[in-house]
Amino acid sequence: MTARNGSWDLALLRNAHFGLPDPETTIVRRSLVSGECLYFHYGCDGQDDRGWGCGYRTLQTLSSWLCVNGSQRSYQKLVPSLPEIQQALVTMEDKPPSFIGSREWIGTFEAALVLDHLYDVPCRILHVPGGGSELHHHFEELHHHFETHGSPVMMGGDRDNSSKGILGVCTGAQEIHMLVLDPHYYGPPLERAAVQHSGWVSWRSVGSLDHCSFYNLCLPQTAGK
Amino acid sequence: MSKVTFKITLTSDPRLPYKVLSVPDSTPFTAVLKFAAEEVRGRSLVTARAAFALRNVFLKHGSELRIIPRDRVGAW
Repeated sequence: MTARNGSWDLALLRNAHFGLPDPETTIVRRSLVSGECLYFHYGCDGQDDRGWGCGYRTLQTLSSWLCVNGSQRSYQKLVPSLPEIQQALVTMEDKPPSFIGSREWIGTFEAALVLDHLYDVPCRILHVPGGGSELHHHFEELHHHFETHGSPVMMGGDRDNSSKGILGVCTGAQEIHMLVLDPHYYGPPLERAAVQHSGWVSWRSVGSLDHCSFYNLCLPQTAGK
Repeated sequence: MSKVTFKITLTSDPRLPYKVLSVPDSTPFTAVLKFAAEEVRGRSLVTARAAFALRNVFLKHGSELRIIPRDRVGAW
């Protein structure tokens, strides 16, 4: 899947997490995204969305998975652009017409609406009011999601207002970890090794997340579709 | 007349206040949501659609409805 911009070759990186070492020596259980998805990030299509577009970019990553791995209804459809995402939300009357062309942030609820609207894929919103300290209570649920649906997950919060793509979860002997794809990179396309070396895709322990922020997770329900 | 019962929880409040509503099973679901938003937050809403456009959203979990806050992401 490629796009062309005047200055960049926009061949987006596929499967940024492939080959990333495990976060611990002893792994009890590892559940990863199935199939392929693309790494969407700030400015990757030529639109400078630094400071506001990270939620949209994670939504694009989830869309790319549906376009490549999804059912007949979503397979080989296109990933929406940022303006197209905004238009979809206005069409659904979740946002007023003035939303188009704005730099307003979106979150996991908007992502769920867009994925359902464009691809007929419902999403489950998992609400974790206690933030990082509570997330471990939901890890069985997240393992089950990747093992059953295999689709990437979008995570957003309030105090932690940076969007995260979740490509897997891992229970180690010492800690539990999430495989985070960070959409905040801005620059020319990177090779997989550089993306991993710079930490734009990395394992993050649940303990390192904000304990004072609630988190919502958008889980596309794709099993059987 | 048969009834259906909903437990509606405001999960954005750490005290988890809730209300239990029993309505006739023919009641439109949008009316249940509108009433739930008014009852839990103590404000009147013009339409059920307005409820969806507000900061909070509703989750249906079996016979439970949970009002959760929307997240907004953009900064780094």
